[in-house]
Amino acid sequence: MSSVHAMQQKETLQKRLQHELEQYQKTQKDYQKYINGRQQLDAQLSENTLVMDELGRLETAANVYKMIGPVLVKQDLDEAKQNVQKRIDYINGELKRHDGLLQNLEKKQDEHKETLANLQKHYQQAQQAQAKVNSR
Amino acid sequence: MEPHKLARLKYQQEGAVKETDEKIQQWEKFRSDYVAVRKLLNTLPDKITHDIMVPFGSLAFMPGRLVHTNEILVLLGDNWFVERSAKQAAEIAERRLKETEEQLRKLGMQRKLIEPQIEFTSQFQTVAEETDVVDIQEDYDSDKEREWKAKHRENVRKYRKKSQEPEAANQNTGTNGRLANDAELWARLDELERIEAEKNELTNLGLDEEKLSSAGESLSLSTPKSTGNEKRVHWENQSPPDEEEEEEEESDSLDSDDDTNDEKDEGINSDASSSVRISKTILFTHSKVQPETNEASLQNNPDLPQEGPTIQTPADIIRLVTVANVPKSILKNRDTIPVNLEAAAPVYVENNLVKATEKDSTPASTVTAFSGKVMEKEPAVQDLDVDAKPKKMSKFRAQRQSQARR
Repeated sequence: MSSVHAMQQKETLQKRLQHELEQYQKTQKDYQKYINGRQQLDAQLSENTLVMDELGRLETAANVYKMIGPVLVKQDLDEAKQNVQKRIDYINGELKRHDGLLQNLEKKQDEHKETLANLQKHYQQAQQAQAKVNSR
Repeated sequence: MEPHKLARLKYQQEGAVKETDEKIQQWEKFRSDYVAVRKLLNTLPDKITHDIMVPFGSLAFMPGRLVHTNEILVLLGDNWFVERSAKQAAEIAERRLKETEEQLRKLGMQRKLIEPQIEFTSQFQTVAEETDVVDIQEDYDSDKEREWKAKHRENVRKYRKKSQEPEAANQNTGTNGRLANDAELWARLDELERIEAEKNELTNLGLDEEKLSSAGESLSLSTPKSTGNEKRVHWENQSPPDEEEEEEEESDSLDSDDDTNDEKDEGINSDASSSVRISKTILFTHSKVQPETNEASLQNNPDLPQEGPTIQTPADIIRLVTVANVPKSILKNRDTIPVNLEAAAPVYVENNLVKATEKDSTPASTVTAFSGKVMEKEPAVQDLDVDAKPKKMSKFRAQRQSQARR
């Protein structure tokens, strides 16, 4: 009777463990994704600030083009500056968003880790208990 | 830490180094490219047209001609292009070169940060593998910790209770008893002090009497204290050369004083403050004056029996001393009146002594006498006494010397 009970307990534990593990891996993947996204945003930000810097150095008569797909579209310098500035602001916003997300994910990850450790402990205990029952 | 964990750590760190190295390489390439571009941009507008081989796909080239050599379309980044002159483009290239150099510098710093970490890890690894290093690990179980804390608190409470119970009992029944105990204790201490003082006096007298073979009045006092005499006799047996050397009356008294000091030390050990102090001062004067007494003893040995009988009281000794040279007389004083000496008395004697030493004895002789004495008697106790004494002495001397300088 007790052995059956132990078996059941162990099985439910195993299921929970499996589930928790999947969740953990998922959050880990998300985390990695956002890390990568953040890195990309960083690169873009530095690139755009560089562009902004160069645009700032141009004289007003300079020809500025934006490549859209296969064609170069001529743009006004002021307009170009505004566009780049907008782009920079947008990237900054995105960076902030990513930072918040990453913090959240970190917290989640820690929680998952803890629950996983607990479950593992319980699982091992259950295994030991079962082994004892079996040995009798 | 387990070795495989260390290995993993090392692997990660090596990966980080590799990554930075790759980045550094990349940026180096950028730099060389920009250098080349800058050079080209500087030379390009020298001619209106250039004959070049135009790359045609990845495999073929075809001959062509470069025109508009001063019109450069520069990609600023993020698909933004600007039409620039060659000179302006060269300026842009220059700025980017600076940027790349800055990046390279940062990457170099990063590498420098990682490298020592790797070194440390590998060192740690070799240590862990080669020697039998045991990592001390303690399992932590929060539940068990809680249990233990509860138990511990319980135990502490029990212990407090237990320790309080007997105390309470004592307070109820034992206040009077304790007081009585205190009174007894104090009485006992007083008694011991008195006995001690008596013993010192008697032993001093006894010694004098024994060695001088006369001193009738003091004999009657000293006979009951035969135990003290026995002790002293024992000491004399241990150090016969002392006796032979210093068998003149002054040196005798010196000797006896030493003996009494020793006996005091033996008997008292820790308590009895005032008498000990006196004994200390006596000891000091001995060591100081000894060389002179030794010299004197060699000359005066035959005189001993004649002079001996005259010394029966401190006054006699003082008389003798005043007749003889000054340092000797000081010793005499100390020896015979040790119990009577108050705090002020030693100071006076010391003053005399200081004068004497300044006049008569050279520092070298005092030093030798000192060490010899220490060696013969109980070394530890005497050392302490000697240490304590010279401080006072040095004060006086310092004062005097400073005054003399002025």
